[in-house]
Amino acid sequence: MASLIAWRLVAAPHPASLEDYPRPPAPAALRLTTLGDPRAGALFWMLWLQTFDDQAGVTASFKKMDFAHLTAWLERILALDPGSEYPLLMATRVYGAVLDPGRQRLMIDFVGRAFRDAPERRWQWQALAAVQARHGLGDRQLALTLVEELEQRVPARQLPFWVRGLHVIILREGNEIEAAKRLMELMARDGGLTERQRQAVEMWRERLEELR
Amino acid sequence: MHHSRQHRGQAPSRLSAVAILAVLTLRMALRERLARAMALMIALCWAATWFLASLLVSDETGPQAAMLGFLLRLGSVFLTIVTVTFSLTRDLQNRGLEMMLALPYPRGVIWLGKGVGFSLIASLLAILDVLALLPLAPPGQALLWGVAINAELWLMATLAMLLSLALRQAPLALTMTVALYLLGRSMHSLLLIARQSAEIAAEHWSAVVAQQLLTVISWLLPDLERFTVTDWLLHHGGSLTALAPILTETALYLALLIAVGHLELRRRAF
Repeated sequence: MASLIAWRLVAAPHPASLEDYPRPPAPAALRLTTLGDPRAGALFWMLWLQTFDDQAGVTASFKKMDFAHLTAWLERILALDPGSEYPLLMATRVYGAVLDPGRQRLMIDFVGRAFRDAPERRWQWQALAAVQARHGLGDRQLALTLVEELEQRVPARQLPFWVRGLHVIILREGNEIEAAKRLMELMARDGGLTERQRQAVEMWRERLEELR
Repeated sequence: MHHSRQHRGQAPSRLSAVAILAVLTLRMALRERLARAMALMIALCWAATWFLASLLVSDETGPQAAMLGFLLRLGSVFLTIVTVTFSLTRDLQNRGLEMMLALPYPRGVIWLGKGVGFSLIASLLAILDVLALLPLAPPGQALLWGVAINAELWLMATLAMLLSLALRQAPLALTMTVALYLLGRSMHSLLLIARQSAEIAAEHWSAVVAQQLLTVISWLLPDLERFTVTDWLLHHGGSLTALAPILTETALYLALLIAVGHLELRRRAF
């Protein structure tokens, strides 16, 4: 036992080397690795992907990693469990927060594709991608496109007040005052607003009038 | 035996004999510290889940229940197969089964008694699995999952019995049972790969034959992917209706496996 411990102490450590995300296997091959349990398998693969940047002796920077492969992994894992939100959470909150516009756009595109596959289940991730596009990427036009797509594909009554408010804010920031006013009139006409929300809409309308 | 019958009255009925054999099988397994092995397996699954859950960015309990369910299923199937295979191959080698067959009952009764005993072990495991899942999953969904894992374990216990009897050697029987389990569990993925290969190979005859062969094999194996659905623990979408095909399939395969096992036992000279 002592010789074993001594050997481990003197043996050379693993060389520190950085590996990039490998190309993911074909969907059916990835499914085979889950031993007939794609839901649980998706979770285990997600954890592997999530810890991939912590490698022996080195912590990889996302800025140096291949995000095209990462996006392909996220898509394959989401296909294993379409009901899971974890790949979308990681794409918006973790990988999408990397300070690199190209990589951020890849993540926003991934969320957009996932949203179009199941708009009513994944609208909140599209809304978060719009916030990311506006504040992370500074691309107001992309944020506007994402929010408009969101409102086209999901019934207004299903969307919370803050998502529709986000649309108003992006329009106002772009000086599209008339469009913002029309949207708020629609919100007021749709009904279903609480007293506080009605007050907020009224306040926004007054501010827009001042801006005009 | 006739002598003892005169002194002690009637020998137990066939039904009582099945019950006595079943209890004896369960007690033998428990004497060999099966309870400790079960507790250790569940503790290891809990520890692994706790560690993996600490890596998750989300603190929802659904993913934790799904991971625990996956590990418990693998652990329980492994423990059941190992228990049945080693118990039965040892009975075959130390002539314990021969002694039982010398009892004044048809061989089918002996076989059924052993089978019920192993099923009790499987059910005990399924109950412990459900209890381990309760802190992480809604009771209704955990219970559905428990019924399904019970069915899966019964099937695997019966398959392990049959293969142990037919192959007689524990390593060989264990390998075959595990291989058939993995095949049953992975059949959907294999069919998907075969279909895609046939498409890529532009319907070349060899790819089409492989696909047809795999389809025929899939008809012979239970559709284990439909059993013990992790989705119930993760997204809580299970309902009682989902159990109907599982229980029907279990009944059909159990009847088949018991019948084949019985034939093998009758055919075999001890």
